[in-house]
Order: sequence, then C-alpha cells, then structure tokens
Amino acid sequence: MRRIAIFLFLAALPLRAAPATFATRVAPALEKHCAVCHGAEKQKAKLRLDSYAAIVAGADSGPVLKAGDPKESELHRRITLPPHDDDFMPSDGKPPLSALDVKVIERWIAAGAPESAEFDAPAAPVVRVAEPAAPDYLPRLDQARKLATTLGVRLVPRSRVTTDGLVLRTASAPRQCDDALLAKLAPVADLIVEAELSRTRVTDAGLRAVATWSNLQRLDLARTGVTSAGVAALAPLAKLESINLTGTKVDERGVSALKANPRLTRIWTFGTPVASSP
Amino acid sequence: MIRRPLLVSASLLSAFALFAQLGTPGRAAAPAAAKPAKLAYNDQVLPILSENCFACHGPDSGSRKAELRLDRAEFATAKRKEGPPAIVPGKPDESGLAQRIESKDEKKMMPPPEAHKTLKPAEIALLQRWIAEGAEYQEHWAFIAPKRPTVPAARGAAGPIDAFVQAKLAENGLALSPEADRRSLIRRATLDLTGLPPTPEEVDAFVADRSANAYERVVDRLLASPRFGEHRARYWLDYVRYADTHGIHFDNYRAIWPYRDYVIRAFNANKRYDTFVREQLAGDLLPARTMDELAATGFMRCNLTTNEGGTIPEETRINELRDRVEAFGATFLGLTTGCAACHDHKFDPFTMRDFYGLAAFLGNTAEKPWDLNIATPDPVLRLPKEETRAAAEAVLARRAELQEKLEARRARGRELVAGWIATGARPRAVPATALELRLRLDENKGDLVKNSAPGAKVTEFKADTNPLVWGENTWLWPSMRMDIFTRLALGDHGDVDAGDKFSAGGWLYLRAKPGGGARTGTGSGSLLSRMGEAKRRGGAGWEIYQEGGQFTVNLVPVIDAAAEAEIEAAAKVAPPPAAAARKKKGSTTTPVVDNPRYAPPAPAARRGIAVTTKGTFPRDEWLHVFFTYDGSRKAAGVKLYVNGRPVETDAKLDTLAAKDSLRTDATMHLGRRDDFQPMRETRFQDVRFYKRALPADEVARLPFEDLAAEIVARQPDATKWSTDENFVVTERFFLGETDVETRKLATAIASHDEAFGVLTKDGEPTLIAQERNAPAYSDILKRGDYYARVERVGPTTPHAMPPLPQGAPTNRRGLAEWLLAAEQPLFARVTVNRMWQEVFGRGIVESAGDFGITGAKPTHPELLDWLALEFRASGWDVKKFYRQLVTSAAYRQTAAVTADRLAKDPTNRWFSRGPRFRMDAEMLRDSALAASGLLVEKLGGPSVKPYQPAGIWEEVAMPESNTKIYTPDKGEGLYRRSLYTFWKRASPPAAMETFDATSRETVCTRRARSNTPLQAFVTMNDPQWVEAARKLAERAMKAEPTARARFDFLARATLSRPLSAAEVGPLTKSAEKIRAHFAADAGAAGEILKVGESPVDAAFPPAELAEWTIVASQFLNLDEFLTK
Amino acid sequence: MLDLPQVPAALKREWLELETRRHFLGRGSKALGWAGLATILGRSAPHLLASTAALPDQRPHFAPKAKRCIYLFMAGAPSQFETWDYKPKLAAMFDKDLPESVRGGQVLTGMTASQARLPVAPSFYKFAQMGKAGHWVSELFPHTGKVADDLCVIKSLHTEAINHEPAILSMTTGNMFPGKPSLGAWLAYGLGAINEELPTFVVMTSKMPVRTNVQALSNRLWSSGFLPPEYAAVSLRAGNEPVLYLQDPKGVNRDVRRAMIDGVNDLNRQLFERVGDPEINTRIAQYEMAFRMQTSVPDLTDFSDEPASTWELYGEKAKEPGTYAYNCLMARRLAERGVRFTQVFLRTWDQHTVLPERIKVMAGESDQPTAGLLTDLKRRGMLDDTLVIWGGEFGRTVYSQGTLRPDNYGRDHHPRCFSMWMAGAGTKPGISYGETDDFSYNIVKDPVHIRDFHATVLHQFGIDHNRLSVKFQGLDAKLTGVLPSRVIPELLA
Repeated sequence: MRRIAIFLFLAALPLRAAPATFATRVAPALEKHCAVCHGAEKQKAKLRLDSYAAIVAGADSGPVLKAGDPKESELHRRITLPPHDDDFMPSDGKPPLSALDVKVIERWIAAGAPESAEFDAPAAPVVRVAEPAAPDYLPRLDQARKLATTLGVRLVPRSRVTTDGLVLRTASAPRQCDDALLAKLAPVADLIVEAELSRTRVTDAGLRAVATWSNLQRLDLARTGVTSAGVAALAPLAKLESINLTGTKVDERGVSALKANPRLTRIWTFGTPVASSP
Repeated sequence: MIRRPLLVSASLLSAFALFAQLGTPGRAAAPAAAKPAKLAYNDQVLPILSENCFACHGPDSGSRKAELRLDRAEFATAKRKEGPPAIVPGKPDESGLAQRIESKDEKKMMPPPEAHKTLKPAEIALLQRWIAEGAEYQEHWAFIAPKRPTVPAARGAAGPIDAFVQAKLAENGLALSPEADRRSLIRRATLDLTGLPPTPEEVDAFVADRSANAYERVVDRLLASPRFGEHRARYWLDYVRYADTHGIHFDNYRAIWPYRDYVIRAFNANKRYDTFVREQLAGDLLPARTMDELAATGFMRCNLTTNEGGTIPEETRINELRDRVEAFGATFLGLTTGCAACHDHKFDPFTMRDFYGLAAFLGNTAEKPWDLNIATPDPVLRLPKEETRAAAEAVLARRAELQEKLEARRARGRELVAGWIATGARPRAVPATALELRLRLDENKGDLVKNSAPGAKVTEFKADTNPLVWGENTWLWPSMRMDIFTRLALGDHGDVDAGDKFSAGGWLYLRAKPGGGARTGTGSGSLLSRMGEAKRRGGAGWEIYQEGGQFTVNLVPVIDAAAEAEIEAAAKVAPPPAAAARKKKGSTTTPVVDNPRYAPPAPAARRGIAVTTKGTFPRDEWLHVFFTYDGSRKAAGVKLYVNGRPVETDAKLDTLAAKDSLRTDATMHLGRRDDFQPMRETRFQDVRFYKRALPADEVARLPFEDLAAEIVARQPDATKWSTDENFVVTERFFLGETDVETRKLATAIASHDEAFGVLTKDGEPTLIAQERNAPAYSDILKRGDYYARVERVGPTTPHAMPPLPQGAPTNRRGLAEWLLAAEQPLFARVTVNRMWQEVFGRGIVESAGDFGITGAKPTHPELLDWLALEFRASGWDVKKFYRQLVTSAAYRQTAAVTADRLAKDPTNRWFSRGPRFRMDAEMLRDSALAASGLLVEKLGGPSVKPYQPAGIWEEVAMPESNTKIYTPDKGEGLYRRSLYTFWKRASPPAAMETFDATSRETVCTRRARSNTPLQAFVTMNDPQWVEAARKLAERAMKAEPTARARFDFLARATLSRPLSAAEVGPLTKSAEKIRAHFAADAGAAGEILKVGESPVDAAFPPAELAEWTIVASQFLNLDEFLTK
Repeated sequence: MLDLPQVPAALKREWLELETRRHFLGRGSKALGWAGLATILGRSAPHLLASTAALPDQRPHFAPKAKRCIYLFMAGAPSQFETWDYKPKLAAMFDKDLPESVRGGQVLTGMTASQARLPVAPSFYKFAQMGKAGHWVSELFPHTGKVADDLCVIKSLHTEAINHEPAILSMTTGNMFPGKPSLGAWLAYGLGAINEELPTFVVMTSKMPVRTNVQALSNRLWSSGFLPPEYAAVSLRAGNEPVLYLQDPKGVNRDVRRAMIDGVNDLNRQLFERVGDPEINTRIAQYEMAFRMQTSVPDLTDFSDEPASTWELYGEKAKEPGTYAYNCLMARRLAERGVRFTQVFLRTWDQHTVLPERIKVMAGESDQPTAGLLTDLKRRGMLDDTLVIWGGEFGRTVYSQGTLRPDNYGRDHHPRCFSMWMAGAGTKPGISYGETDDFSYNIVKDPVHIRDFHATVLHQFGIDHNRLSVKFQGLDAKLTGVLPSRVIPELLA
C-alpha cells in the first residue's frame, strides 16, 4: 500500500474543478476569517458576513457584492489588495485568506454569487493522513538508546513525528558495526526505517538480520563486503525504496533479485561489477 | 462558555508553587502544604506575560495590537472601547484577560494560534489568582535604585559577603564548603589577581607561613603587582571592543594601542572607577589636563568603521552610532539598548526616543565616519617623546585652565548676551541694498525654495530632476543637499556685466564620500553661476567654481569670431596658465577626459578674469565662501573671503578687455552652470547675490552677525532662542566674534594648541574623541533607516531613569555625571556584577549584559545591592573591592563537589563551593609561558605578533589591506603577555579564538567557555605550547636529576603542588613508552626540538630532552592546569 | 564508550526543565563538547550533565529530505545576464539608455552615481537550451549544461544589501550586521552531527583565479553568533594543515601521542575522583575525540582511494590543494563521511569592469568541478539527500559601469534581482522559478526574498524555520529573522 507523505502545505495547484456551493466553500472561509468583526458579536462598518442575506445586504457604505463581477465587488477587492494596504481585509495583522479561498470567492461571485446552486471552483486539496512509517518510537526510545549506546552505534529519531521511525547511524565509528551487532538490534528492528551502514564491516550474514526489519525504507551498504547472494535475501522488505550498493561486489544477479520489489526504484551500483548504474 | 470555578484545587496550586519555585531563583522551596504566599509580579507573573503577551501588548507601540498594553498597571486596567478592561483588579471574572486566556474559541483565545505560544493550565491559574489578589504590578527590580540591605546574621561569617551567601545557601538546604587547601588557594588568588600562576617559591612560602592573615598579605602583594593592571585590562578590552584594525572591507591598521596602555596604568594606579569611566566617556570635555585624560577617550573611537566603495557616509554614521549606543548600554547600563534602534524595546521601558537621545550625547564628536581606513583618522593625539613630554604636559595643563574659563563663559553665554543687549548693543545687520537674491534654504522639506530678498522679483524657485535632501545635518538650521542630478534654476537673476559691481556667495558643505581611488568626494564643479557652455556665447558669464579644494571666481567675456582670432595669435605666444595647470594635475589616474564617471572639466576660459584662492579648504565642513567684484574689469577688483575673512588669491587670468561683455542668456543656477559642470551633492545655506561690491567689514558680518541681528530683532529675550538660534547669536556671533574676554581666551587656547602640536609633532599617534562645536542632536529613524528621519531629538537620558543631575551640561560630560549619580539604579550594580563574574566565573546576575525584564534575575539580590553601595561608598576603590571578594570565605571554599552538592546546586549558582572553570585564552597562554620561563614581562607598548600558522590572514584579507600579511615578530614579541597580541577583527588570533576569544566587532560582557577537541589540538601542537613544554622540560632537567624529582618539579611549576604518589604510576608508564620511541628513532627527537625560536639547551641528549618535552606537555594539558 | 559514573535520571530531567524553561543559551553558557551535542534523550554518557546549556531537541520537526548540504558560494556576485537569466531582447538595446521607468528613482551606488549615462549592456555570451527540461544555459557553462536537468534555477531572488560585506552577511547569516549565527551553525545546532568524529560545519576558501575587486571574507560569515562557539565552522585550509594545529609536531607519532593522552587522562580521572567537577569528564572525552580526529581528518586529504573517473569529472586541477576543483572533490568526500554542512567560497565575481573577459575565467574555474560534483553525488546515490546550492549575494546592473563597448563593459551591484540554483534533496529538478523584466532589473513574477530561500532550505532539512529559534536578548531569534517569510512550495518535488 503506497505510503504518501503528509501534505504539509496546501497544494495551490487546482487538481480538477469540482462542483462547489456557497455553503460548502464560501461560508466556511468567511466564517474563519471575517466573522470575528463582521458577525454576531461585532458588526464593523455595520457589515455581517456570517449569512448569505447579510452579505447581500452589504455595509453602511453600500453593497459589497456585485453578482457576476468580482472586480466590482468590494468584498473581492478588499481581500486581493497587497497585505500592507490600509484597506486590506482581514485588518490589523489577522491571518489573510489563503490563495485558494480567494480563488473560490472569485469564481463564486463570477458565477453570479448563487446561494445554493453549484459553481465551478478548484477542488479543496485532500489532506490524506499518511499511513505511519513505523510504530510509535517514543515509549521504546530509552530502550533503543541504551541498546545503541552499549553497541557503539546511534539510533536517531527521523523526526519529532513519533511514527516516522528511527535511523540507524554508524558514521561516527563504522568499523565498530558488524553482522553480530545487527542481529542484536532485533528488539527494536521494527522501528528502523533507515540504515546507514556504509563503510561498516557488514557482510551477507548481516543482511539476513536486516531482512527482518519490516519497516526499512532506505538502506546504505556502500563500500561493504555484501554480495548478490546476501542482497537477494532482502526481497521480503516490502517497504524498501532505496538501496545504495556503490563500491560493493554485487553484480547483475543481485540487482535483478532486488528489482522484484516494485517499490524499490532507487538502486545505486556505481563501482560494482554491474554493467551500468541506472 | 462555562467559566471554571476560580477556586483551583490545592494540589494544582502547590504543584505550581514547586514549578514556580524551580523556575525562579531566590524563592524558598515553600513547603507544598502551607498557604501559598501572595504572588510577586516580578517573580512569577512577569516571566509569563513577557514570554506570551508582550510581543503584541508590550511597550513597543510599533507592533502593538488592538491598542492594548499589559506591561503597566495604568494601561492594563484602562477602560476599552469595546468589551471589559483587560484587568479589573480583584475580579478575574470581569477581566477580559482572564476570559481570553481560558477561551478555546480560536477567534477569541489568547495568545492567538498564529503566535505559536500556548499558556499551560498552571500559568492560566496563576494569572487568574494574581488578578484575584489585586493584580499588583511591581517596577522591574533593576530600575529601582539599590537601597542598603540589612546584613543577615550568620554563624561565624567573616564579613557581609559571606553572610548573604550563607543565607541563600541555608534557604536551599546547603552550607559553605570547607576552605580550600593553602596551595589551591594561593594558585586561585594569584591567577585571579594577576592572570599568572604563583611561582613554586611563593607557594611554599605561603604554605609555611602559619601567621595570622598570611593570606591577606599575599593578596596585598598581588594587588600591588603591575600584573594586576594587565589582567584587569584584558577583561576591559572585551567590554569596550578594543581592536588594532578598523573592521570592515580593508580592515586596515588603526593606531590606538596607547589607549590600552592608559587602561593598564589606570588599574595599576587604582584610579577611582568613577574617574576611570568619566575620563573615557568625556576626557576631552573635563577639559583634559593631562595626556592620559585625552588618551582615555580612545574608548569613544573603538567602534567598527568601513571603507567599502559603495557606502553612503550618512548611513555609515548611523551604523557607527548604533554600535556606540549598544556598547554603552551593555557595558554601563546592562541593557540591550540596540533593540530600540528600530522600534521601542519590546520588554524594557526603553523607547526609540531614549535610544536616539543617547545617540545625541555620543554622536557629537568631530571624527568623520568615512575615515578611508587610514591608521590615524583625526582627531589624533600624538604622545611626545621623553624629552618633550614634560613641556607638552605643562602646555596642556595651562590650556585646560584657559578652556575651563572659556567653558564657564560659554555656560553663561545667554546671560552674557542678554547683558550685552541690555546695554543697547546690537549685532549689526548687513544693509540689504541691492540684495537681489537670498536663498535661506531653511524650508526643511519639499522642492520649493524661497527668495527672501526684500522686494525680490521672483520669490520662489522649484528644484527638478532629483529631489532636495533635507535635514542630514544642521548648521544655521537643518541642512539642504543637492542630489546627483538636482537642477535649481534661479531665473534671470544675476544679469550683470563686466562693468557692474556685484557680490555673491554663502554657506556650503562639500561632501566627502567614496568615489573610488584617490579621488574621494564629488569631483569639481560650479557652486553659483550665471554662465552657459562654450556654444552659448563662448561660455560667457560669471561663476564661483570649486576644484581640488580651491575656489575660483571666473568672469568670462562673450567671444565672437574677431575676438577668437585675437586670442589664437596671443595663444601661440604663451598658453593660458589655467589650461596648462589643469593638464598637469589630471594626468595621474586614467585621463580625466574619457573617464565618463566625471563630466569633462570646463574648457579653460581663454580670456577674462580667473581669481583662485591660494590655500585649499577641507571637505565635510561648513564654509562661508563669498566674493566681491568692483566692476574694474581687473583681476585685482575681485576679492575672495572664506568665513568672513579675506583670503590670498592668485590671478590666473587677467585679460578682460574694455569692450568685453559678460552678459549671457544662460539662467542663474545654484550648484552648477546652466548647461553642465554641476558641483554634485553639495549642501548650501543662506546663499546671496548683491548687485553691489560689499566692503570687507560687511562681508565679515555675513557669516553670523547679519543673521544674529535678524534673530535679536525678532526676539530680544535671549532665554527664548531655540538651540539653533542660540548657536548663531551666542556661540558664534557673541562669544565667537564680539566678546573680548572670550576671544582673548580663544586666541590663547589656539596658541597653546599650536605649541602642543609642535611639541608632539612626531609622537606616537592614538585616536581620541573631540566634541564638535555645534549643537548635539540626533534624528529618530523610522525602522532604523538612516534616511527616514522622523523627529529631531537633543541629548536626553532614558525616560525610565532619573533625569540629568542638576547643572550637568548636555554633553558626554553630563552623561558621565548622570551615569555616576547615586540614584542611577543600574551602573554600580552592572559593574560589581561583572567584577564578581570575573572572579567567581558566574555573575550574581548571569546575563551580565542584560539586566532587563528578559535578563536573568539576581540569585542574591540583597548581596548585589550591598556590593553596589559598598563600592560607591568606598570611593569607587577597585582594588579594595577585589580584595573583599578574594578574602571572603565564599571565595576561599574548596572547589571539590560532593554528589549531594552537585544534586542541589549543579551549576554552582548559590556559590556552594569554590569557583572552578576553564581559564580564558589569554590566561592559558600566559600561564604556559610563565611556567616555562619564556614569558617576557614588559608593561605596555605597541601590539605584538606571536606565532600563528601561515596564511590565516592572507586567506581572508583583501589584496589592498595593509593587514594582509602576518609576519610573526622575532624574539621578545613572541613571548609577551597575550593582551598585547595584535587584534585583527576580520581574523582574530587563531589559537585564542579557539578558546572563545571574541573578534571585538561587537561589545562582549561575557565570553563563552566551550570545551572542544580543537582546544586540545592547540595545547598539544601549537608551536607556542610545544616550545613552552620544551623550555619547561629543560628547567625540570636542570633542577632535578631523577625522574621522580622532575615529575615533582613539573607539578609544582604548573599545578602549584607536589605530585601525589598515585599520580606517579601513570606518568611513569606513559614516559616509558615515550622514551622507547625516541630511543628507537633518534631523528624524531631532533625534529620536535626544532619547534620554536628559543635555543635548545645542548646540555641534554636530544632523546632525553624530547621525552621530557612530551612529559612537560602532559602537565600543560592537564585539566587541573587549564582550569583555575 | 566510556563508562563513567551515572547521575540519577530524574535529576537530569528536572534540571534540564529548569534550564530549558529559562531558555538560557546566551554566549556565556558553558556548552558541551564537540558539535556532537546529542539531546539529553541521546547519548547517556553522563558528561552530558556537565553542560548547563539547554540541550536543543535535535530532531527535525518533520521527516527531512536533506541530510547534508554543499553550498558553493560565488562571492562577489556573478552577473545574472551572462549566467542564468537569459534576456534575448537586450541584444537589440545595445548602448540604449536605461528607461527611467525601469529604474524608478532607485538610489545608485557611489560608483555609478556620477555616470553621465546608464547605457544598456546585453550579455556578450550566447545561450542555448540544454537537456530535456530545456533550461537556457550560457555558453560559459558547457559542463553544467549537461546536468541542467537536475537544476532547480531561481531567477527572482532579491535582497536589501547593496554592498558585499552586508550582502554576504545577509546571505550567510540572514542579517546585515555581524554577530548572528550562519546557516551552517543553525543546522549544526538544530540537528547535531551525523559523524561526531568530524566537524559538523566545514568551510573552505578557494584560490582566486581573478584577483581584482577581491571581497573580504572573514570568520563572521561562518560564525556561530550567539549560539555556543562549537557550532561555528571549522575552516579546512589548503596545504598540509587542513585543521589548525591538528597535526602533531614532527617526531611525535601515534604511539607517543597515545601514551601522552593516556597519561593526561589517567591523571584527570584521579582529579575527578578528588574534585568531582563533571567538566573534567567532558575534557577527557574531548582528548579522546581529538586523538581519533587526528586519523579521520588526514585520510580525507589522501586522494589515493579515488577512482580514475574522478579526475575526468572534476578536472586535473582537483589534485591541486586549495583550488575550487580540489574543494569540490573534498566537499563530496566530507559529505560521504557525514559532515552536515560544507560551504565552499569562490572569489571573485565582482566584475565592475572588463566583465566579459573576467567572468569567462571565473565560469571556467567553476563549471567543470561543479558539474563533476553533481554527477559524482548522483552516481553515488548521494544526491537524493544532499542539497547542493550555487550562487552569490546579489545581482548586477543591466547598464554598463564605465565605458560600454561591444566586447567590454562592467556591471555594478544590483540587489533587486539575481539568480541561483539548487539541486538534489527533494528540490524540483529541471524547473526555472520566478521571472524578471526584460532588463533583469525588477522582478515581475514570484519574488523570492533571501529569507524565503533560507526558510525553504531549512524546510528540506525537516525544520520549520519559525520553530528553530533561540532566546537572545529577549527575542526568539531565528535565521529568517522577524519579518514574515515563507517556504516556496513550487521549488519542491
């Protein structure tokens, strides 16, 4: 099941125009940004924006909406001014409407500002929560740390998101890391999503342990003694996406074995018997 | 929205008390069960408000939201347009703040989501409880002047210091540690007071001396040693950001080391600390009786300067001013004043007005911001050689008396003028007859300038192309400067002919700015003219022209075909002198003609009159330049005056024929000729054109007297004159030109200055400060932009502190008195806190440079106040203060720490044990040199260059810099104390920077104390340390035959103690391995002995010496050696 | 690892809470050992306890794309006209006066302010579209052209500083005035080391092929500012002493140094038993690390393990220490061993005069090694998580400074728009972002302030630039400062 990263920022690119209505797309934006001063409790400039009727009624200085013509609508003009302009809305430093909200309001007014009919507007981005990369590491972090310290390697959280997994890091003392060590990592193996094992003394024997690391996504075996035989054992790693075999003895047989895993798209074989790296 | 019941459960409150106690030093660990004491605003509430609210609701008006301010009671409880007041004392339910901090509604809750700050439940409860308890605000502790605290009674404590320390220890369940052993004690005291370790003999003598106050006698010996001054100076140079180079771009050498000598002499002479500060801030304004007082003002010149090609001098001046106010704030007030350059301080009561008020005090000095990065930019004091020193001091002392008298009269200036006016005397105006044009240029905005000549035909002119630049500095009034292409046409005024009498001129200020190469400034050009280019009637007309600092009046006749032929004939005989002169000068750089950076020079006038001043005049100064012409068609008829006095001239051209006419259809222009040749970016004031030849006495009254007459006529009451008016009437007209008494003093002073100059002609230069004789002022700048002048402010002291003491002058001298006044809350505390920090390793206030609201709270507030008042009461006696510190029991504690003490006081903030921390870079190197016997002890003198790896300067310096190549000194220079090391800002001494020495670009009140492998490399492999190890080894081998005895010798020399039995084993083990290596590889021994310039003692076999060099290096790398 | 006496964990947590809540990280804080300042949750060796500095939680805020950065800093500001901002329409405008409407009354620098005219100077060099992405690449960059498809070119950067010193400071530390931490220091502080036996932040200055209008470089460009000093860069110097004082004096071999340190640390341990100051343990650890570094750093400069293809990629000059080519190869070797941030300075691009001739020399020096580095990183599978940046501190003017001739002109400083490129570590390859007007004088589309650029770089390291802050003088100080700045999503894959 493909793992999709969390969309951290609203993708501004409209995917495809999905039908929208005042209630589903316009009202929520106005509620979020405008109701504080133009709502039930306060009506600055005697303007309310928390209901369709109120919007049409407009403010003490006249209507804020000209159906079909966003350019002439004061509502649209105010939210498209440069942020430091005195007339810019929302005023005095409150967070501005997102570019997408402004686009939606513009399309709504252009479509004649219908109360209930649908109109054409860019789809709201779907925020799909990614499927966690690994189990929550926090409860077992101290255990992982103690284990890593006694073995002379490091297990570093990939990020503060506690389901992002741990990175096995050996750069400080690569010669210290060998097959036996990898085997001892079994108790926390499911937490490991990345393993930096370049220049270590890992051989095919060690890869049998690595093959049990179910959540491993990236594996760096550059300049180690692994061969095609050992690498083939990694087939069960369903989540493996990238493997670095530069400077190893792995040849064509090992690479084709790995290619069985569709997710494993990035295989680096510079300085190996493999004819030419991808 | 349900309001949670106010009564928060007791457990939460007590949990909070623990939490609060943890976070706030100085509070007793109140047992959870007792009723919690009333909340104190400074201790518990302020940290929460400043962290979460003050960014938008604090003192800074610029970023305030919803016009709500929470940092002072009067604002927080004020009525509001909509909704309840933020705080209703005693009634949290009615307080807007209490509601907002509880609300979960995204649009109402405070702090709002986008502020990325969230209040913890405990903090919300505390704020509500504080409001319920009456929401009492407290002034910030640092702004309340210290009051003498009662010294708590303490068991057997030696003195007040120990009483206070023991009281705090008791509060935290601790007690004083036992006294350190005598060896550690003398080592610690000697290092703290002199920066050098004690000699083994001194240690043994003290250990043997069982008499009473043996320790006090050692302390007194150390205080009397000249090394004390050197060590104290080392810290001071960080606080004032002393460096031997300018800093930005070229980073050239700057002659200022005599100021360092002054600091060393001051500490050794135990100069009173208030005098020490007063001399550095305002030595020139005392006035300076001795050369020391002048050299002290080097402090004012320590800021960074630049000579980058594209800089704008006005911007550089503001940057340098900001650096000065920030350094003054950190060192003398312990405030982060620099924040208020762009906006009101967000936490401390220190506004932009306060910042620029201080800038007005500190910025009125004579040096030019664009200093060309030369070694001695004026003003400079040259310290005379031995033979003329006494005479020079005498002259200076005498001058000071005269200056004192002059200052007294200046202080009574207005009163004297009033008296003079009362006698019926008046400044005499210059008759306005035939005054055709008078441009005061005092509009201070816009593009329209008025012609205030009585009955003028045209009363207004408009500048075009570039706008006029107003208010960059002040003379008679805020200045006007022409921009690069500004054109100010003055209509058909100045239409005169060769036979007419006319005079013209006014105040002008030639701008100095980077023009690349030797040509600094804005080139040459016409200042005031009615003249066209050659095509227009042969360039006929009149003008006053500037080139190379000389002023020239040109009267050019109309040239028609006939006149042309006549000139050609004459030209063959002798080329006109003016043209010849110009060719010679212009040839050095690329021929001026085709370098488009400057418009081609005016074609030499081949006939007519050209009269040039003999002398040259400086840029960046206001000069009154004026000429008169008597219509005689003779060069002799043209008279030139500068500052109202006639100047000698050369008649470069005197060939105006009888029939020649000057008349032209070109229009009169300010700052250029009609068609070209602008005198770019020049400032002008009170420019006039008369259609008559003014006599010399009238010209003499033009600079100040005429304007003075106008002012007095308008306002006879001297007390009502503005600062600028007072400058014209009192300072320059009355005192400067009329008052006999003052003029006598002024001339006497001038002759003394001349004599002083002769006596110190080729002396050792050092930069000093000199007050400008013009009103001190500064402009509040919008967002700190140098050109966004919002409002002019005079020298004013920060509003939240006591005003300037009565009668103190509004200049740096007054500022020094304000700083030293008893009611000044910060100065003494900040000073004693830093002195404590030098000795104890950590201040009573940990953020030594920030006593403000977000700074650290004092761990021992009463002790701090007691020390501040004691230091003042002792007559600012520095040595007495340090003596008190090092003789206190708190200082004499052992540094050993038990697990319990480590648990309760991990960072030694309660001083539960003796101070123990890694020595600063300078102390480390000096100690190694002292132990090895290489140290050369010479007091003062120019900076030296010890060993440094090759290429460090070359890698970063610019090819044009004169501090590009680093060549280490030979001999003595390699082994002087580290405070004399040459300090290049762009690349500080490499080894010392590794031990956290700063680049001295910005003020540093506290160095970091890091602990990295790079430091291990220095002490193991730096040639300075390897050579020191070798010489130390030679001393040990010379003194002792056996290995055990040599180990002991090394321990005594470096650790001030003999080796313990347990320590012999490891040393012997490693020594065997080392000996085996050198025995096996003879060449290796030879190699290591080559390190360093000092000769190798041939008495010892190389292998053995190499082995003992490594053993000595082990002692120089022990934590016990590197740590005080 | 050293087994040193433990201190109760509860005390550690409470004491850290005490220190962290007071955010005390001013310059005066005593700090921990080498840049490997692991979090309190990290290494359990108790010498952590010695530090009173609040230990930063060195975990990225969200999953990072970049682990390492190699910043190729072209000091002096390369002209965008001859390098990346292709302006075909200018050819027809040769020697025309720059329209006043374009300049909009901008204050000119001292050096060109007094020029009589501002004649337009089109690029002397031709451009061609290269690679599948169709970047217009200058003929000055034949090699970089071949890897153009990996480049994410930004043409709409802008800054306030008009002079080199403040501009380079802004580009490296986000502020025009000295005293602020540099980008590398922020990353070393925020993320800690990958390889704790090597410096986390390394800087190298290259030999200068053009020696006119040289910019001053100084420690303030890679300083740790108000962060603890061990986050400052270590400058790797050409010649036989890459790290100052690292090499033992001649005649002292490994055994002697081992014996010497053993003696020192044995005595230090006895001292700890007597005095108990935790800082002693820290110093013991530093001497052990120093000993190990004395082997790990020199093998960096031993190029014997490089395959022959390396010299074809980087060029023969890569064998000559101190050259830009040598520094690019060294940058890859440092990145390979886990150095977090490597910055290579190449001077000088400050062509106020004789631009066509001198920029050709500069581009020649930069082109092959830069392309070689990108290719080398890619083939070794390192480009996926190594961010490579190439660029200067501001742009240059469209009008000529000094006399304009078809084959000779100069350009003055121009902060309003300039170009840079990024590659690797999740940046969108093969795109060009942001547009300038026909005179490359003003930005007409998608402006990127250097603050936004810094925010985007931090984002690739999994850091939210608003939350990587340190309290200094009461302000939560950040690399991107106090003015609003944003991550540019369009630059990211």
